[in-house]
Amino acid sequence: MATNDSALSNTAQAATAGPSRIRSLDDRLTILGIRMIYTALTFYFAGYFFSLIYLQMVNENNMWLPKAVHQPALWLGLTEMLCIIVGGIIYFWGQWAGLYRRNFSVLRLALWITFVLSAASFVLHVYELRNHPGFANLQLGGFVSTFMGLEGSFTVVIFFATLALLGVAIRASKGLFRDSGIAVDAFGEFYGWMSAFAFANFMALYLQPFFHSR
Amino acid sequence: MGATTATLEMRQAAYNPPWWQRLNLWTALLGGLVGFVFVNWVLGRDGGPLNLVFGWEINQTLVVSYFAGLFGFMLGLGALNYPIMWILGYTPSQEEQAYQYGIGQGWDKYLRMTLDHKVVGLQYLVGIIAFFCVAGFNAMMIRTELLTPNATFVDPGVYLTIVGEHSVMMLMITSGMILGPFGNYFIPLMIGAKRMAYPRLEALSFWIFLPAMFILLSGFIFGGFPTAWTGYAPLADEGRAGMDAYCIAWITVTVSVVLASINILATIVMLRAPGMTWTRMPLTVWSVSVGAILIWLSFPIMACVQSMTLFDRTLLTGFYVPVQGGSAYLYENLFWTFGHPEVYILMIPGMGVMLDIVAVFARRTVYAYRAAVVGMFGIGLLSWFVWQHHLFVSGLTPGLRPFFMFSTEMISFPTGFIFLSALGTLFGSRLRFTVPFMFALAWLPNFLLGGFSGIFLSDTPVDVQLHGSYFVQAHFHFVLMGGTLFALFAAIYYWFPKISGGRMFNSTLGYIHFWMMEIGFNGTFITLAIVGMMGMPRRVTFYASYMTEVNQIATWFAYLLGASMIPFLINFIYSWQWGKKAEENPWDARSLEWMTPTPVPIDDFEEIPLVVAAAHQYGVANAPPMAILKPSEAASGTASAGE
Repeated sequence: MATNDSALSNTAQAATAGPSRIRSLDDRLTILGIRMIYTALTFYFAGYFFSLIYLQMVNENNMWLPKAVHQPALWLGLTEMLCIIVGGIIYFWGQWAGLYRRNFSVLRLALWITFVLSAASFVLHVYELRNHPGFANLQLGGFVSTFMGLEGSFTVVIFFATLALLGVAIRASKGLFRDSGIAVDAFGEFYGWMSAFAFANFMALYLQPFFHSR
Repeated sequence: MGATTATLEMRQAAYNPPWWQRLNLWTALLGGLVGFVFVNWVLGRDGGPLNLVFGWEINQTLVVSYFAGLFGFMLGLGALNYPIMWILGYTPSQEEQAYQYGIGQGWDKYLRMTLDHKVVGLQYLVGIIAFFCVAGFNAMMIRTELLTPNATFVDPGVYLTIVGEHSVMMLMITSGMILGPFGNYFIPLMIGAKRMAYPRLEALSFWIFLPAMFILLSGFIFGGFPTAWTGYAPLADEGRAGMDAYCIAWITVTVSVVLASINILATIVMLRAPGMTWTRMPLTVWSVSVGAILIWLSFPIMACVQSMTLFDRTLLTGFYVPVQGGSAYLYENLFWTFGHPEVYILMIPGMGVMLDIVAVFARRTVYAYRAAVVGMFGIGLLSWFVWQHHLFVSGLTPGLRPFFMFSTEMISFPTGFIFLSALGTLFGSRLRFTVPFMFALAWLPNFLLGGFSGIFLSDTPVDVQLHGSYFVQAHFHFVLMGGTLFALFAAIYYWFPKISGGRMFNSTLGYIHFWMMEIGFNGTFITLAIVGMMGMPRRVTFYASYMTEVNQIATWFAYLLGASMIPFLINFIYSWQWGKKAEENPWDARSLEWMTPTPVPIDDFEEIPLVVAAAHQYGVANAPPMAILKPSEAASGTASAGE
């Protein structure tokens, strides 16, 4: 965000070093900022994971997982997760084989594929939240509440991430990362966090509650 | 002013911004109103599309309307210009950037999303004072109701909403009371930086904060909320539509303060001037850092808690509904995991401000500087391990009580470091009893009363007896008002000559303000502590008649406290415009912000200074000035230190 403000940003290092140093400081600021943002998001989602564990342990009125609730459609959860994780792997490939080797056509291809996968995951999440296959209504216990809350919040994150990814892909198509690819790196870190989260989410919502028989 | 800025000023003068770059507060309000009204009263009316197609009722429609209003506000403000343009691959020109920084512009830059950190600081200051007056007015209504033991002034339901609006608004604004105005304005100046790390996030944090306050206030229109600031479930699940305003306001404020804290932390970590080592920093910088860390990590938990309440209210999930497998304890545990760090978010920044101001007017080096820093971090760390003392009477497992009692009492140790540092600095010094110093000095006894009553309350047997009484209310007002509000006014008076662009406040009005506030504050809350010991519960309009006189005494003191804002506001407005011209460094302070010219140039320093000494070395013989302002000239031998 601060990359373009160099005329107004004669920072400590900027004053004592050359233009490359300016970029370096702004690049480091961008990376630091993105790390702080996903750390804050981790604390947000920690609340939902706490609720998952707490409500399961308390099992108030035996309503954590009543018999009317079935395992949510595995194919859907798996596809949503794989869209994000495969998108992350392709993004990673785009960074290494494209950005770092200055092969920008590879970078562009990787970014657009990741964008499509991310958008697909978003659409699947919306479909899932609208139809919630596995349970008839949302008043069916603690698990269903946590499922809706966690998946709903994650869907919002995926939406904004997909928008940002669109921006990264368009800027790559315009050749704007030839001088500095920091936006690609920074968003890559965020996408990595999102992939890890998608995996944790899948384990926590689709598998763990159904490990043991009821 | 540097050559870069001058060039930008010339270019900016010739720049004619398109209409979408000139959007401001008024267009933002219009956008917010249109967004809200369109969804709530056009799409969401009975028989409207949302009702017919999706079957949405008032709660669902209202929640979506608030978000539509927020989106409209941001669109109307022009806050979405940059993200949209960025996504489309556009890069702003130098002229556009200069325009966004408000270079060479008049007062209208204060009504726009301007990127200059001084502008954002002043926007925060004015916003916080305005909403502080609103919340304070609510407090006056509460005390007026309690003049009599029956509900005579307002309906009990309305009374609860007034209590809620007062408490939530006060907590939200005090979360950013030091961090918002003074963190944004002075942190870059104090550490020798030319800007904030993320100017757009900084501006965005203020402009999200503003609609959050409007959303909160709109709760009155939709039936209010009965839960006061804690928003406890399951009452929150059952509250009227105004409860949605409460939840969304918290979520919105979370986005605002988390962005602000990330910006401030990154600035402090990455943009310190050469030579600005950790032990040379003013204590204000340290205290704001600790507050920012706590905000960064604890506020997201609050957003999560309130999103669960919203899901319960709109989608009929059952996070907090026992028959649906939920639990009210889930709310209480998560809420207080945020809620107790929140207390320290409010007060720790005030500690640093107080210690810095005490050192300036005592003309003494800060005593036990490192211990004070350790104290602030110690309080911040311990604040994560005490939350269950709020649940002593909620059915907490008895075996856990001693741990939480002990961990709560432990907080008095790092807090003691702060007092040690302040008293050690004051000891044997020749004091200058200026207005800012009076406020900083009053911080000590006021906060001490809050601290002592806190240790008292942390004992489980006492807490069980006094839980939910006015004693608790008096305790946290001593902590929050004593610890934060007195620091805020100390800061306003101390930095007034800087922020006003070189004007000095009227000292007589300042002293009047101080004494009215100090007497009113202590009179009100000492009396309310007594009322609490007499057995009066909080949040009630009806009370036993034998407590009438004591309540009336508290109310008269509260009126004095409220009236103390009148001389302050007169002084603030009058002196800003017509006050006497202040000297460049009227307090003979050492820290970097006083070494810059007044008004502060757009890029703060002509050159990045070279810091050669600590900010707090008062009274040290032959101590050099804190920094060399023009290191390049000093290196070539044409300037001396401090020039």
